[in-house]
Amino acid sequence: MLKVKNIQKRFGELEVIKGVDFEIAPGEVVAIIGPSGSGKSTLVKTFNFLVKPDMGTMTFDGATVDMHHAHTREIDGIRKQTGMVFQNFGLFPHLSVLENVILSLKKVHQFSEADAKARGLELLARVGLLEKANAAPRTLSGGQQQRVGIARAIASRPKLLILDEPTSALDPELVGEVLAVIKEIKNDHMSMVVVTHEMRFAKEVADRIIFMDHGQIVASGSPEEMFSENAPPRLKQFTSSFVMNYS
Amino acid sequence: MNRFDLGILISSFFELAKALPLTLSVGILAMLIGLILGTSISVYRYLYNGPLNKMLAGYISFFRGTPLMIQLFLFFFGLPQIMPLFGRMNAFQASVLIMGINASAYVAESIRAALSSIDSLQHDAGLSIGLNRYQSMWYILLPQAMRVALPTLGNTFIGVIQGTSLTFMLGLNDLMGLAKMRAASNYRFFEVYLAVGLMYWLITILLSKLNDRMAQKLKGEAN
Ligand SMILES: Nc1ncnc2c1ncn2[C@@H]1O[C@H](COP(=O)(O)OP(=O)(O)O)[C@@H](O)[C@H]1O
Ligand SMILES: [Mg+2]
Repeated sequence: MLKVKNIQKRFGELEVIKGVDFEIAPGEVVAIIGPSGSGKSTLVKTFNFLVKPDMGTMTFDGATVDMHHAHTREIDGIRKQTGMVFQNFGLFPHLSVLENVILSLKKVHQFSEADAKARGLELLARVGLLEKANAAPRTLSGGQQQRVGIARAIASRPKLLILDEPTSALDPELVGEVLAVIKEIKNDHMSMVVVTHEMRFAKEVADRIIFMDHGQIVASGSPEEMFSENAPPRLKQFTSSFVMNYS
Repeated sequence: MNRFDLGILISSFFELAKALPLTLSVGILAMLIGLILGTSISVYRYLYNGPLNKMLAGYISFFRGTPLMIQLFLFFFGLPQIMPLFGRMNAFQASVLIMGINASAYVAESIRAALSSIDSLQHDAGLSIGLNRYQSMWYILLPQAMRVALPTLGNTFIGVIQGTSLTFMLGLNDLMGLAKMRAASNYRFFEVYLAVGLMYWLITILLSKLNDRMAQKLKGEAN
């Protein structure tokens, strides 16, 4: 579905992504874990060109682009087929919850007002927020805002959904409701990349887990492999600090 | 020496009200031009980087950095000597246009500041749902920036209205122009100029009230 090769990105002197290859199959769920500052956000943002890499090639749904020289048209085309859920939600404060969800349907995907509304309400029902359709985003709890964020991201049925630490900004008691929604949308069989610090969730939801450190993919494998005794020492050191939280 | 005459003050005040439509038309039209031009400038500067961007920065700096009176004289009396085409404008058109250009510099600056105050996550979120950068500007950034800039824009409008008092120098019979004529005919400078001052004061108070009310309403929405 998506394949990137040799992505490199630096911010000034700082080399943030040092030649990463990554591939995800249709319907596959990949979790990316790794310490803060290791380049996880930067990497996943290159997938929808919120960050433009200095180097790299991308094959999206069969079409290959040189990422550094990608044309606006190519970038817009890829963004139409991807969705993203942000750590800090990024809901549009001047629009109602429903308008947040259906803006792209109306302005990008040429839905009629009525069709967009119908689809928007269906999505809000799915994330359990139908009664909040006309509310302003600021009146919602963090967990509710993030569920709207998810509904907005999947509204146009993207082929790839990127979630960058979707629960990291939430109070602990609100994490569960958001994770439940993410698990539920797995039923749609879109490809999903989830950056997360929720190790148990990664284990449960992901087909594959990738461990990033210092701008590189250090280890990659099935959840069983990644949490096994034979995992690389650096990874074990990282995951053990989290497993503690659950035991 | 004259004794202060309240009757003359009051009659002058109502006499001057005849010029109110002209003053308000110049002010409102100039503000409209200022809003459209200024917003376009700040949007352009936000979206593009290049030589035009630098020139626009110079334009803003010039029109905020020189007195309005000099701008009016320069473009109404000076420019037609160099470019006769501009001589075809009448005083009303020239006042509206020059004051509009002047206002656009202030509007551009307020909206630039408002745009830069908006979290970049908003733009990213707009792009992530497939909007192109112009759509993200139009549907996401600009509506939020307008709310942020509203109080400042209100003050700019008040400044524009007060600035129209200079247009009598181009020959316009606005509030100030009428006041000057009346004072010249009845020699009651104090009463007439006090009346015109009160008139501007009244307009300013009403506009400030309106501005505060709108700001309050938006603040209520934002919390
Ligand atoms: N826009 C940017 N400008 C400069 N440095 C950045 C920018 N974005 C990220 N970085 C830096 O790149 C590194 C990786 O950041 P990030 O991808 O956010 O890591 P992670 O998501 O794994 O915590 C960090 O050192 C961060 O400070
Ligand atoms: Mg991050």
